Amino acid sequence: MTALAGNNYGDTPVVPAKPDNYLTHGKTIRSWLLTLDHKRIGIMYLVVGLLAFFIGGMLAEVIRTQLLVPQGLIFHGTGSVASSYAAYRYYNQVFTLHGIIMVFLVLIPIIPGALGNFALPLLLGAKDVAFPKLNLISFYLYVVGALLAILSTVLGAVDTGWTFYTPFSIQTESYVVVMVLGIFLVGFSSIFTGINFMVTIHKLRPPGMSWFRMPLFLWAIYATSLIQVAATPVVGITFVLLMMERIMGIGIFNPALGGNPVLFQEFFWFYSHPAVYIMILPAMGIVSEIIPVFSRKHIFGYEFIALSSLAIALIGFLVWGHHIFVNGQSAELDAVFSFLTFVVAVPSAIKVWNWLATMYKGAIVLKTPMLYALSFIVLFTIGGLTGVVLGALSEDVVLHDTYFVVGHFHYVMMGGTLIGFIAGLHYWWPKMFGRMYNERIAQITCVVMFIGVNLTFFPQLMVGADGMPRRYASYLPMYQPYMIASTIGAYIQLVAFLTMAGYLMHSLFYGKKAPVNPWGGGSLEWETSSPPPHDNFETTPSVADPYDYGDLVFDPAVNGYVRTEKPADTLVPVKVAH
Amino acid sequence: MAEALAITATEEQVARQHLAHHFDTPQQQFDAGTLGMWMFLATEMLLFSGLFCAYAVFRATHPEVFKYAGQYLDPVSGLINALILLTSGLTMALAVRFAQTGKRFALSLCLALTMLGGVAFLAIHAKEYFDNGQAKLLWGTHYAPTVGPNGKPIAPVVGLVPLVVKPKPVASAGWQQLNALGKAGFVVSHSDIMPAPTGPSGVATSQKPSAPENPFQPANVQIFFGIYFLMTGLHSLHVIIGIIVIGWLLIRSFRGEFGPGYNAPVVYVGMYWGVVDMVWMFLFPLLYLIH
Amino acid sequence: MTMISQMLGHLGQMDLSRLTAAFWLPHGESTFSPQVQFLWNFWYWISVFFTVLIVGLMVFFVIRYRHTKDRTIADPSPTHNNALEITWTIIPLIIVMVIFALGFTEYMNMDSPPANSYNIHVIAQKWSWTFVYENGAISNTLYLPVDKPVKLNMTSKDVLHGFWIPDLSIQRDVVPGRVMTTWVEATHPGTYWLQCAEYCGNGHSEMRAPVVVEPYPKFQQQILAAANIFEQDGKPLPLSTVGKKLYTTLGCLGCHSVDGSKGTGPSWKNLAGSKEVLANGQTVSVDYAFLKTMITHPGRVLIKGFPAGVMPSYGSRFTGKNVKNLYAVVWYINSLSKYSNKASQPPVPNNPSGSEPAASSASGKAAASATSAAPAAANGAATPVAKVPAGPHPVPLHVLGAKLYQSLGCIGCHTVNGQPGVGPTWKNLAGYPQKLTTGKTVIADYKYLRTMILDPGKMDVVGSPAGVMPNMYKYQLSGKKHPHENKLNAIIWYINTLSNRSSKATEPPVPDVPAAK
Repeated sequence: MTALAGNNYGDTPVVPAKPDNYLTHGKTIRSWLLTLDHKRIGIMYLVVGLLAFFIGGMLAEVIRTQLLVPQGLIFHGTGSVASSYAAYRYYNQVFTLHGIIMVFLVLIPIIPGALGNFALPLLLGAKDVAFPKLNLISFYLYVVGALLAILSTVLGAVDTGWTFYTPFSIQTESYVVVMVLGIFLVGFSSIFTGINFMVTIHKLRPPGMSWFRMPLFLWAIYATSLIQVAATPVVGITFVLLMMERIMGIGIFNPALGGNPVLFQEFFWFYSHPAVYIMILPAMGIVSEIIPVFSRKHIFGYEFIALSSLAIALIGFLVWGHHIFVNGQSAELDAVFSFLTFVVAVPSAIKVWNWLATMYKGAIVLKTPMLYALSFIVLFTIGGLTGVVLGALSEDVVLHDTYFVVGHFHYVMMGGTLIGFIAGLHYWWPKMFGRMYNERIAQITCVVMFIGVNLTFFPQLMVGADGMPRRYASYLPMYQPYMIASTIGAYIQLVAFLTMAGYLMHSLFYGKKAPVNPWGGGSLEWETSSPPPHDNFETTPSVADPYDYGDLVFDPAVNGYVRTEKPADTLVPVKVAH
Repeated sequence: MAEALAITATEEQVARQHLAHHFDTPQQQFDAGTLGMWMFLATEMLLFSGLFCAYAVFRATHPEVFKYAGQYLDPVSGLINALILLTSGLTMALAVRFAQTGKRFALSLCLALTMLGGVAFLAIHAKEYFDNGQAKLLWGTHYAPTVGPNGKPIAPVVGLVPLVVKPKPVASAGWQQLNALGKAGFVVSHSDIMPAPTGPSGVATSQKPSAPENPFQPANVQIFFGIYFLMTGLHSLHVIIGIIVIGWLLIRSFRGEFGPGYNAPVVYVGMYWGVVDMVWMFLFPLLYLIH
Repeated sequence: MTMISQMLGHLGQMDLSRLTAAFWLPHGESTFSPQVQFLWNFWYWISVFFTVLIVGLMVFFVIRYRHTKDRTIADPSPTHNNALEITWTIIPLIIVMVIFALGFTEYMNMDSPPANSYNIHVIAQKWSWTFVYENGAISNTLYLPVDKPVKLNMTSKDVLHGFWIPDLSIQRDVVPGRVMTTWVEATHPGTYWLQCAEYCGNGHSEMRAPVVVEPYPKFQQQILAAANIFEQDGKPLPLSTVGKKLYTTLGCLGCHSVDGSKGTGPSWKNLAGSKEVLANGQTVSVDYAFLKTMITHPGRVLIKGFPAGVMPSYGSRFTGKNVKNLYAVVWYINSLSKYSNKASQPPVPNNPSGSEPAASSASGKAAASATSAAPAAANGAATPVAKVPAGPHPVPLHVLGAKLYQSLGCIGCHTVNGQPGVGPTWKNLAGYPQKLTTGKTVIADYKYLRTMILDPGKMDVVGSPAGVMPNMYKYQLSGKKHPHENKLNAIIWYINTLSNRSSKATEPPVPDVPAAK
């Protein structure tokens, strides 16, 4: 077969490099800010999300620098205890902001918002999400929420921790109301995105794409959306109550007025534990896409990976109590939560085994996305296993609220979600911007990143088990060696991230033009040009098994993969109207 | 009826006009909208569910508070409100029907009646709020009634010391009394000037030095009113939003925009109004009919 | 450079034995610890096994099945295998269920304190721990006996705190508004750290306390010694020294510095005897009565520049039989001030031997009567000299009234210089007509003033918000406990001295100066 650049199938004409794509379709600022195009909205999420990530990351570096010495390197007193405490308040504000920005503005929205928005309709072969205007509203709710978070920081930074535990959050002298209002809006952004994606997956699947023919990323996004829709309203009302508490003194959570501060914790974690799965499930979806593509082999155990996402989403609703084992809820309740926590660990394990089985006998290409996906497996394994011991009741008593917990959730959130996001970003980058990044530098960066992440968070596991509590501005000197190692790791991560920012920015302007299908992916987004046109597809794509790579071969002429023959037996014709 | 719903060629055209570019058929678009609306309404229910949970928790831990405070509320006005909302639910359902069959005058009439029902509901509710405010049957530190549920005077409630620190009066506008005091340098409420409680500080104690008329006034009654105002307030907010949206539908129906070919907004708002009605059918017995 | 040397200096303190013990988990020294460590090790080795298995397989596949020029497509292999799926679902499930069962059983044990436990009351506050023992001793070090179960009843004065002793394998949140319990039986003597695990604000990271585990007889000696902070080796200590101890044990140091640096509350350096500006603009001198009010009823008066509602009420720790604590702390504050004077000093002498002359400011008594009280203070049964006698009084009542104006908190709402406040000013109040909200105008005579103080809800004056003035003064100034209404008369006498229209009708029925009788 001759090389047919960017072609879908042999009998359709060659698609020339189209001068018009979604990036050039409308050049004014207005055409970006008021766009209804899911791809542009995705890019805007990406920009704002990365900006938030930069701020959150720099705050993390401040935290790590502070903890280089036991009495605090940046914020410390002038000798008296009282002056130390006054100084530590700034540290408390820094870690609070780090937590809020990373959780609410980065981890929760960035994969659904940026990669989900960009890729979901493409993976479906659809022209857009079901409700494009709602999609834009979601984005602006997110932006306004982020601006309110900044406003509250400027007015008087919040020092409650990202968990806003009452009654401290009721008493503290800072702009909790503004911050909580911002998060409330971000929450509604998340709800609307979830509704949008669920309806899109339900109603805009092309004929022929049955549920079990969807790419696994869509399953992951579907499960994520389910959680967003079902859990976020509860934290919404919780934050409304917290605002009422501060504005009106309503008294529901305030023990001084007969209220119940523990109720806040129950409400908060009813959302915030499922929120952990909002963060990790899409990353798992990305890894499920990348591993088969770069193993050149059909995914193993498709149904099990797909259904385990749903299982995690559903059981994930019933385990919130494991965050509050030591707050005095009844031991019987603790036992139930502990039990369910162990149950929810199993579907995650199933995914890991299936990914490994996919690699078995594959033809593994260690391109950057794959390297990050493999990093994900290692880091997520550590994060998951450390979660298992935290679920055991008697062990949680020893480890609750220590750096062990900090290390555990950073392995899952940083090593899982963010590494998964970076993998997805590298995977879809050529499709997003039509440019290739420098592969060699990206691979080296990935290795540095892997080392940095482990060096940062593994000592935290150790120091936590040894007895250092979290959210400490100062600490006992015996913990210092761990803290120094962790800080060095954080600096290494900073170097890796700055390098990444450099080569990705460089690729935007000087990168090689990306082919239609640089990695040999089988799902529909690789059937359209890079970057895709405004309406996504020149010709309506045909639905086939997204994990069948049998007819894709590498063509050096276009530096990408092309289909060699029409997979007639799997092709389902698309009906235009019915 | 089937004839009435048959879509004519013109209506088919109308339907095509309202079809967004990424949908294949008007039916697909309508189905997507309906599914989205149901999901949104599910999140609305979940928003209320947080308050229902709070209600359940406090009712389980403070049953005496609910039994006592529930006597303050007038079940008659709650019942009238329930009937008003049920009626408006009926008119809204009829409006949906008339939109689908293309009866424009009947549609406008039903929408107007639904709005009227909503306004009447709010008016009765506002009267209740006003009476509560007069009697100081309010939340938190603002709870200071002088009359018991049986109409006899009771000892004033003291001892509620809020541990709230207001940073600057940023969001506390409207609580003039507190603010005025704050400016003078004191965050004093009814009870700020009290001997320190002997228990762990911060445990609310409702001191009742002498209350022969109502010896069984329980502590922490303010919790009930906190929940009452939150639940009914959130519901009233939904009624207000509903009235505004129905007003918007009314304008569009005057313009003749709805017919068999295009009526999705009426259907969606009808679903919303149904849920708002339903929430009150839960709130009414939970708050007004405690014994 | 100093930073680097600081860092290197601490490297040497790294205790490697902590690392090897139970793979980072500290040596447990309580009866819970063996099981906790067993489960930890169980989990640890399972985790190591699975991590090595997963990473090993991954690396093996990457090398064995790598993509090369000659090998561009995968070998044929099945895309699913239900037997395999079920296997790797069931095995992890069984393993985690075992971990669950082990964790649960020990947790139930942690949740049930034995009936014969020794009780210790733990009080958490921002940012200190206080422990109260069965014999009434108070300490900031947690003393625990070896091989005897101890039940810890914990309360918080403000926000959530976390009671956590890593080495004894116990942790429990301390939730305000309820009593939280946990228990522990230490197995080895030693010194450990109690750290606050639940974030509680500025001083969270410094909120720790040493835990000293000792054999039971020694434990008893310790708490006996701790029960009497006023003595050392059987000899009484100067009160200011005791106050310095209390500064730490009661947690004052969290907010008040003693070197003049800024904290959450005013610094104690040069505080006594100085002038403070209140939030309402009034200037007061920091004398004994003022300090007493601020310590025992911090909500009453607000100092400019410091937020309200932060300082917990220490009332019960400083009044009644604990009034000696108050003297001690105020003496300590005095010892830190260059402005310290007679008026700012407590009514008992600092030195228990009585050699140092002391002043009694509350009653304005001469030093002579104060020194007579000194021996009483020294032998531990202090009776406050500042007590207002029940009968006739040599001091003019209006002087006492001026004191009560501060200590009862009238100063919060009523000025004495004619400036507007929340309530009417006391300047030129007595004898002047007052406009009521009912429209009536009445003269502020004795009866009027008495009613307004004791039963403020009866009448409302135009211009002052209703319902603000607390109605508890009738219990403090009148009623069965105060048949002579001495304090009330004192206050009204004070109001009279502030007015240029005071008359017989406005004066209380008892004379201002009893000596005049």
